[in-house]
Amino acid sequence: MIIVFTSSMFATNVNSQVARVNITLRNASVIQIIRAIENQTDYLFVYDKNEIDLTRQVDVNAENQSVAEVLSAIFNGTDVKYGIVGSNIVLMPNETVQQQSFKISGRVTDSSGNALPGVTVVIQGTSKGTITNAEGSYSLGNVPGSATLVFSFVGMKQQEITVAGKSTINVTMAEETIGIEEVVAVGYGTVKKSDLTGSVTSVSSKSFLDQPASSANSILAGRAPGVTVRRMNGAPGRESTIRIRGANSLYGGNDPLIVVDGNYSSMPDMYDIESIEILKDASATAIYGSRGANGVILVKTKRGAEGKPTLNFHSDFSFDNISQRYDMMDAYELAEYNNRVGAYPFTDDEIAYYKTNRGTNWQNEIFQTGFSQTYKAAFSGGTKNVRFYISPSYKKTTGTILNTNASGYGLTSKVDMDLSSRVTIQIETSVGHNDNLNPGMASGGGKGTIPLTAAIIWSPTEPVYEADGTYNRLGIGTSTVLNPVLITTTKNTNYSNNGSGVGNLKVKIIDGLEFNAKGSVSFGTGGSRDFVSKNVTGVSAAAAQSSYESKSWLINSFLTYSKTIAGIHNFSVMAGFEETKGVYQSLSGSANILPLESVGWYNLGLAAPNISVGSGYGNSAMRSYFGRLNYDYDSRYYLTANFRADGSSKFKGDNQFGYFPSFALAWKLSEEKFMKDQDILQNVKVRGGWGVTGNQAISDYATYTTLGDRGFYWGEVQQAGYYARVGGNPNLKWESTKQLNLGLDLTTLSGRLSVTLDYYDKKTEDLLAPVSVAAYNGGDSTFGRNSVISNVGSVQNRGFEFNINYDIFRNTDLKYEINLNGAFNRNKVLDLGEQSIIYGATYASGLSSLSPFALMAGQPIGTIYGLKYLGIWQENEAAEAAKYQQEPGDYRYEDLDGNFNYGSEDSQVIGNTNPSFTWGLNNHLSYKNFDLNILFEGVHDRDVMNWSYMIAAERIDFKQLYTLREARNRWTEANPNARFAKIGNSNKLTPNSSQYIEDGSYVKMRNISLSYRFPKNVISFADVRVSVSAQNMLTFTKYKGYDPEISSSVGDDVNSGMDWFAYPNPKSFSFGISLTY
Amino acid sequence: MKNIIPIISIITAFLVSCESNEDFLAENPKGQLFPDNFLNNETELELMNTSLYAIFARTMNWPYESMEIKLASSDDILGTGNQRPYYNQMEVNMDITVGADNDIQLGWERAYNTINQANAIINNYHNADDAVAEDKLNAWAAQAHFIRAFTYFWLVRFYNNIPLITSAFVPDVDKEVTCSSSRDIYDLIVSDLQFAEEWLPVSWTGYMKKGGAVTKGAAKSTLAKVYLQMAGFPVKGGAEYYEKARDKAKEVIDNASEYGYALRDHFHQVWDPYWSAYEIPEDEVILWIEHTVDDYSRRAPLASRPIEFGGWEFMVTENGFFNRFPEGERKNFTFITDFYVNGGQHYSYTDLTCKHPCYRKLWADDLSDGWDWENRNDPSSLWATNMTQTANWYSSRPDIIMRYPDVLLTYAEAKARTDGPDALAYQCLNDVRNRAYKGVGTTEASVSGLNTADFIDAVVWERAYEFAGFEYSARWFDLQRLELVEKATTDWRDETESKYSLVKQYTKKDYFLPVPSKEVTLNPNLANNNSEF
Repeated sequence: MIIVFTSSMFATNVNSQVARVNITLRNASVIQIIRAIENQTDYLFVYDKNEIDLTRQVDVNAENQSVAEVLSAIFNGTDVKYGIVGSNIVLMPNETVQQQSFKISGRVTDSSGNALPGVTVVIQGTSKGTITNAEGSYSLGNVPGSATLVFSFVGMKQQEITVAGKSTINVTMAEETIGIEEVVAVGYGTVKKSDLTGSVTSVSSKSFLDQPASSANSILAGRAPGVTVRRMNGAPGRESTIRIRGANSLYGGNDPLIVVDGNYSSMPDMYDIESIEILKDASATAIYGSRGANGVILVKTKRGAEGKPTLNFHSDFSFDNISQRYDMMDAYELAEYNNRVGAYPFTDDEIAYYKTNRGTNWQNEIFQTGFSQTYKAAFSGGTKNVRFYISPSYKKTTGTILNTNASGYGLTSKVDMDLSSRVTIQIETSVGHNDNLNPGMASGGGKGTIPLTAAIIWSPTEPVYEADGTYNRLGIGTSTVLNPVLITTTKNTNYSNNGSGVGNLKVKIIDGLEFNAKGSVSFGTGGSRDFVSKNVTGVSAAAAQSSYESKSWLINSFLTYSKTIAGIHNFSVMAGFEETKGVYQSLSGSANILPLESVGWYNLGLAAPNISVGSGYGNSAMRSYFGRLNYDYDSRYYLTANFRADGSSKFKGDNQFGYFPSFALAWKLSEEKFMKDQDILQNVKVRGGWGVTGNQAISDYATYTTLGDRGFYWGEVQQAGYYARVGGNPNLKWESTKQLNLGLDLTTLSGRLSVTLDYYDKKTEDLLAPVSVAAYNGGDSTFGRNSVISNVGSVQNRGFEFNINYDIFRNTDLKYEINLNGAFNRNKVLDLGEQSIIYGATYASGLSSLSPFALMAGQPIGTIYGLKYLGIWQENEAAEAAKYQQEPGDYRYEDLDGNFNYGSEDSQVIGNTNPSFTWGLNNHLSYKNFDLNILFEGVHDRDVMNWSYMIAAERIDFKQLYTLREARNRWTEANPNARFAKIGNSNKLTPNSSQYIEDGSYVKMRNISLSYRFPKNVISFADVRVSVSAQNMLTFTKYKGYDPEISSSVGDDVNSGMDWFAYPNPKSFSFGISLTY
Repeated sequence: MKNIIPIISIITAFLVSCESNEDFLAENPKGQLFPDNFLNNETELELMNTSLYAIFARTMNWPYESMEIKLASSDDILGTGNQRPYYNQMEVNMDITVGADNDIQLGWERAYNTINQANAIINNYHNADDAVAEDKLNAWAAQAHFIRAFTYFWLVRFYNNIPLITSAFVPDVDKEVTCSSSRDIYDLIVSDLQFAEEWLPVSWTGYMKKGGAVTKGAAKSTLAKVYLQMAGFPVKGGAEYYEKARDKAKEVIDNASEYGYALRDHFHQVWDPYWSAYEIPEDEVILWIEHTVDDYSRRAPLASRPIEFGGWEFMVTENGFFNRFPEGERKNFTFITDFYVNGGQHYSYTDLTCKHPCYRKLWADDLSDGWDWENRNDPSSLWATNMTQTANWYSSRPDIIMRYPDVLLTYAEAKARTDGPDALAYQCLNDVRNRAYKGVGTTEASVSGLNTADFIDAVVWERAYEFAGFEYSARWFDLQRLELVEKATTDWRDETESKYSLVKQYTKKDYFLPVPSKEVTLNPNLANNNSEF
């Protein structure tokens, strides 16, 4: 038996029994009238299409009649019985309710124990059945003792229960999250999931509910194929990086577009999320045009529903720890070893002293147990016509490195109003505030500002404090790098305030024609407040404040018209318009020589005349036109076409507008007649699509060449100055991505196993890239700019994705479902135009002037380029080594051109930071009131440049001591198989080589959580749910550093494989509680 | 149906209101300044000029992130390698692996950024022809010409053949730039300095005076020095250029009182960390760059401080050079050989790991508390004893780039090499020698009656002693132009430790640096820039 649910709308508002309709049709089929009623009301028809004659021709002439009147006109005198239960209209053959003799009755409830009206109850293998009433009760007569009852309801999992002589059967229905009948959001509209033509993955809130996450983005990790989420930086307040189907762009960023309830936004609080749709291919994302190239994440948030007001309260607490440490020498070992090998002249007295005083463990000095706490309340409810959802929240995270933390609070409110049966208005407002202390300590960059770098290079013989209690400022053998603990005393406080208001208008104009409009305004203020003491600078205290103000507005409107012709041609057409504009202003002031430290940044004027001020301005605007055509023939053949034109103020002249079309076709094989007779596959759909999307990529004013400001101290007081620099590029144009997608959806084992397969081929053209400008043309990395943004070439991403859901058990008490998803992606730069090579970012002044990352045609974004390490020269190779001015025991690299020198001409591809395969395995097991979630994630076949380990193990410019225990494993004649070269300066350690590239593959147990819902008879006043969980509990990797997931360049795909003391991700243990009154 | 009309009206109004604004997609870069149409008036010239000095200042004040360190061990300086392992000998004597020449890359970048800035002014200052009087306008332009010339002079002595760039920030997309011969670079330097000497004022007023804006005297002095360098290797201009150097130096000497140049009474007074321009009417500093607490100099103590006292030891004295150095006030100040800790405990440099005297010139630091500069000549002053005091890698002392003795010795040498030393040449040499020995006005260190070759030899060595250590690589450039590098790195060295032995024998090619490897990867035409050697 196949129950078919129609309607494209699950509205939360339910029309009353007296809902009025206007239908005037002659010789119309029953199905046409059903569609007409569904379009004009929020009723949903439920019927078995094998039993109801939908093609029967009738005449209807209903002017402002109630639905009941229309139904009676259609069905009176036929063998069809109809009933209105809640928002469902159920159609059944009349005979099924006539033969009642042996009676079974019971009650059907949802998982929270509420009555479920409108559930269809059918004897398996027959067409006999009934539906539950408003109390959720049913009774069914003439049931054979061996029969099986099938309970089904839209949005719930179907249940089969054997009668086995029982006369009462009570059933609890579970929500269906991966059902084929879901309605999913697509840009500017919705579509039934079964009608999708593009590649869309849904993520239900259920899967991440018990995963307290310090970053909103991280809830998507491991959830969807082709969606990789990496937390590259474990600092409080830092977001995870999301990539959908690899990186397209070198410069423009590869973050997907996140659309929350139709608003361009960022990921909301996870407790607010109802469901998430991830649009991956161009046919799905092209409606977002220039914003769509990196994929789109559509988030639907919770809203108020009719009913008594409820309060939902969540709270969770996490303890975070960095358990992995570099194994460093203690003071005695260090003094003895460094003295012995001549690296540093410790005296015998000192060495003897350290034998009893093992010194400072710098890693322990800067790491601490982090703690995070989240509180979130949601009040919701409403009447039939006015519904509300109001939610305040607070969150604070203390980091695992001293003096880092992040906190924030906010309030969101949503009010939905039906002004009439045709007009709905939604008003949403939100305000929030965030603070972040010392975010800069987390990322790559200056060696002097990262406490973790200092902790690895500082000698354990150095104390944290001097005898007089002040900080020990400069250590031995560490050049200008300060005491790690002292570094953390710097205060760099970033803050932001934001507010937004959104108004949505939805009008049903006539049957099938709907108008939507949105207006939103948002503003943000924020900035930073910085203080650095004389202790740190060594010169004088300094303080600064900077603030910005940004304002933006957006309006859009679109018309949607849906029409079914002759019952089998279903059309839907949408056309719309959108405009947005933003303005940004900033103001800053700094006191460079602050005479009194105690005033901090609160009284900058005190430092006059050693103060400076600045201000800035920026604006941008975008105007868009878009449209879509959906057509399907008999729910078997589908066509979707999208078009969007975007005009951006960032481009000039003819380059201002970009045009983004897409097309997709789908064929639902399972609806074909020849498939009707089989029962192996319940759903089979083949999809194919092609489209173009864009990337705005560049920042405001990138087409202009502007002067930079740099003043000069002519004596005591700084005079303003402006300098020319490498310029903007007036010829910039849109970067565009063409994508082909082929997909297959299968459902089998009575709907318990579903499989989705997708293949894609993306090609990004007119690639925007920063092209290095040689220093002789003024390219200056320290005081100016050293690149020009240009459209240079193209990049390809090809891949294959699979997503498998399997309900292993679906008993009433025991349920177990697993989801396995995986993706293979190959990234390749096809062409760089005039450029043969484009270098990435340089790290760590003093190590290397060249970036280890490079782009070249034929190689992926994220290629590591440098010398190939060949091991250590051995005794019997002395003659050969001498040609390189080297000796046995020195590092040996491949000399490609044979000129006995390791120069740039010897560079080759030595690594790839992109994983070739990523996967996620989600397990969800529930038994009665217990829920267990386990999520594994795997990332395979990627390289990481581990310069942290190199610094720890070697002696370099700003680190003169051997500090790592393992670093003592050095070459001597007696130890020819050593890990490291002999002591000395002829070893020619080359940072840009394969020597310190490591396998960055990992498998992580991202989350394991166990929750328990207290039954009503234990706690009667509320629904109470408690959970315990652990994040990043297990990591399987060969990687030697803190964490293979981290990167010193966050969100930058060219340079993402660098471990230069980025903030590691913690292991977290969390406790959560959730109450619903 | 009656509902539809107002709804359609709303929609139409909505669309029309969005459409009505024609300039909607126009960018409005308020507050930005654009180089395309700049330098139209005195204010705009002043803004660009100030920034040019700011960038030039950076170029000249990083001895350890610049080309200078690579040529550290001429014969006056070497690094011990105890703290910074690569800095134990002339790195030019080692093949450098790709990307490992980070420091010279930074020096190269800053120098060329300065040149491009100067070009931005030189190529556009005529925008202000109508707004600014010619002599005033040319005085602005002359500063850019001077700084461009000085920066090219700095670069050409380190690299020899280099790109000759007269455009401003125009990317060389087709990689057409090659290394021009040093001769062509020198020609541009000379013409720039000729413009500068014509139009620069003798002195400035207001903040530019106090802050070290370049002057007519500085241009003439620099030109004299350029001619002297051009006379020798590798340009080998010979007698013609010695004559030019002689005449230009004499012009400065003859007008010394107008330009305000005279020797300070004692050598150490030049290194007063609280030195300030125009404190005395006639001073010996010709070219300097102001520094402050915010914009500090890197020419500071740590580079030449023993490792036991937190130093880096990569700019210490070569032992042979120290031994040859003539006794007197100058030697006492130039070097520090005795170190006191905790108010009395004494170490000689031979007791320390360093085993070389350090350069006290770099110690003239005004930012560390308790240095007690005022009492520096008292043997028990904190200046000499307070080695437990934390020292800095920065100082707000001005960077002194050129001093009057340079002009005096340029004249003495050029005069001797053209028509033999005259009385003025002797006076120039003796003034420097006597001041070095016991101060201005004394005569005990005078020489007389030398034959020309001995006189020249005395002058060249005098330059070495007077500008020893990090006075802008003066000694190295002398060794270079006189082709004495081979001798200086072998015969004159007095180092017993094997780590100071040469990796390979010097050739003429090692007189210069290769173009940094990063730059060569961006434009392979620049590889092997000194292939003629």
